[in-house]
Amino acid sequence: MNKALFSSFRMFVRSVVSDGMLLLMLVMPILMALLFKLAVPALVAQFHWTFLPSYYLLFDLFLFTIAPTFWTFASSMTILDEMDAGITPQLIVTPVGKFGYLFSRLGFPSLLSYPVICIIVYFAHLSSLSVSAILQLALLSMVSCLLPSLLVICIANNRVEGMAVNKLAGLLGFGSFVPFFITGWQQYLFAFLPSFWLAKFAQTDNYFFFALVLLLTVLISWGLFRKYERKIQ
Amino acid sequence: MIHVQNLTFSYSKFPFIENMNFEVGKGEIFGFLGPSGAGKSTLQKILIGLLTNYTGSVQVNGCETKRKNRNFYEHIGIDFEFPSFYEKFTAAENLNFFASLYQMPCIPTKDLLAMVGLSADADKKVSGFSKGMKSRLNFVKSLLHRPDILFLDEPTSGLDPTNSKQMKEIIADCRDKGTTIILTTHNMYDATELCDRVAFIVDGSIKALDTPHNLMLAKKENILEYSYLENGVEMQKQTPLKTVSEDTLLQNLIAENALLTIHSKEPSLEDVFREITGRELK
Ligand SMILES: Nc1ncnc2c1ncn2[C@@H]1O[C@H](COP(=O)(O)OP(=O)(O)OP(=O)(O)O)[C@@H](O)[C@H]1O
Ligand SMILES: [Mg+2]
Repeated sequence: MNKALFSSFRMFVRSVVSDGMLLLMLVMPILMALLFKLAVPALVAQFHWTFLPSYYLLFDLFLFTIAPTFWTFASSMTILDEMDAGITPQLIVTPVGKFGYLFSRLGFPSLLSYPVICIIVYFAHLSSLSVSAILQLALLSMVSCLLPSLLVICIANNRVEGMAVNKLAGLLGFGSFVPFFITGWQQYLFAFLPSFWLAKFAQTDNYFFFALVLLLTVLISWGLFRKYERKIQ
Repeated sequence: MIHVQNLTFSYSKFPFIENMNFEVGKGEIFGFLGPSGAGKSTLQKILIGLLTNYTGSVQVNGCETKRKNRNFYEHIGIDFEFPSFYEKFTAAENLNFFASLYQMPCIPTKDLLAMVGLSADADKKVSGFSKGMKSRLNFVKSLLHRPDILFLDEPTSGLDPTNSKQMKEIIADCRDKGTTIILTTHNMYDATELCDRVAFIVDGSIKALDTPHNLMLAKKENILEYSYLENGVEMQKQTPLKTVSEDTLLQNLIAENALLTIHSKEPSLEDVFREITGRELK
């Protein structure tokens, strides 16, 4: 494998570790998963919120997104810091390159989040999910969680702007709620969101939806990557 | 090392760089000179493969820059105008990191820091560096992997005379070792001193291209400037050196030992630039 890519990734890890807030982002997924595992059934038992179990799948879908969301948030903040400090143009004219730079900042953490998603969901899920369903949904979550990060680095120019844009970009994930609450044709108004099809796949196990998530994510990522490319040249 | 043929590029629909042609040979220091907004940085971005939507041919180190592969940057060093570092980390950590990106063994960090007089600051965080210290560190960062081609954008700006001289010595030294150097600058003295050839760039096109010596010789005549007292007022006069024998006033003044000052004025590159392009450099 490529030496430059690994050196670049190592620098990302050092930057994150030396930054208190970002370090917290690395461990947050585990804390949040624990909270969910304990809190939701406790609420059902304590307050007899018997409507909750019908949304257990939705809770689980949320569980899938915790790790990649937090980790790619650390990515986008680091990328914005580097852009702000003028390091990005410097790194892309080394053997790391444009694509390699983004891969070492976003791709690596995203890939590394995959096993973490699987472990978290395996131990903390509330609905009945098979192992193969966990592996498949984890893949889709991992991929579609790249979009908010790409959106942030395309639009924002520094960390402060990044935090603001990140809140908006979080809306991309709300597509998952749609099939649970809107059952009529109106739900397809959200068809442009990969998270919408992700929820449909979780409900139906239809591989057409699985493919749609991947296709939509790749298309949108490509567009955002091109925009980012123009921004840094 | 660098062949540019019929290069045309624009950021907008209006023409900017049109049909530009030039070549730079191995081991040459080639200067880009021009006022702000002339297109020097744009041209550099094309040469280093950051801007790829140009037409024509731009070959750098045997590679068309819009079709470069990752190996391209193993042999190219770039000192951008604005220094950039991980400010939280020390000078040595920064250089070590950049060195770790290259396949080939790099110049030891210790030697690099010594070259620009920063040995004592190796373990200080870059956030505590002065502007000039950052410029010097940025400069050695660009040459740590012993590049074949070095792009320097205003390397001496913000440096005191001693450090500026030291940096120019390192640049000349790199050239002597066979490195090809593209030097972008506003500073005429640096250009005259360092460059084997310079290109005057204005509004996206090359207005002149030659050695600084030839440019200065060809364009402007040398002038003799003298001053004297007339009715108690100091007067100043200029006369072309080659017709000095026809200046009777001067001869009278010499005969009467009445000259206050006298000196010849050789044209500087700056004068030549003004004459050719009709523009000021800054
Ligand atoms: N990314 C960009 N998008 C659109 N126009 C740009 C961009 N970068 C530069 N320009 C324009 O191109 C022209 C040349 O700019 P350039 O930075 O190449 O000048 P320069 O010769 O390097 O000037 P300086 O000496 O101030 O560094 C300017 O008119 C500038 O406004
Ligand atoms: Mg410039």
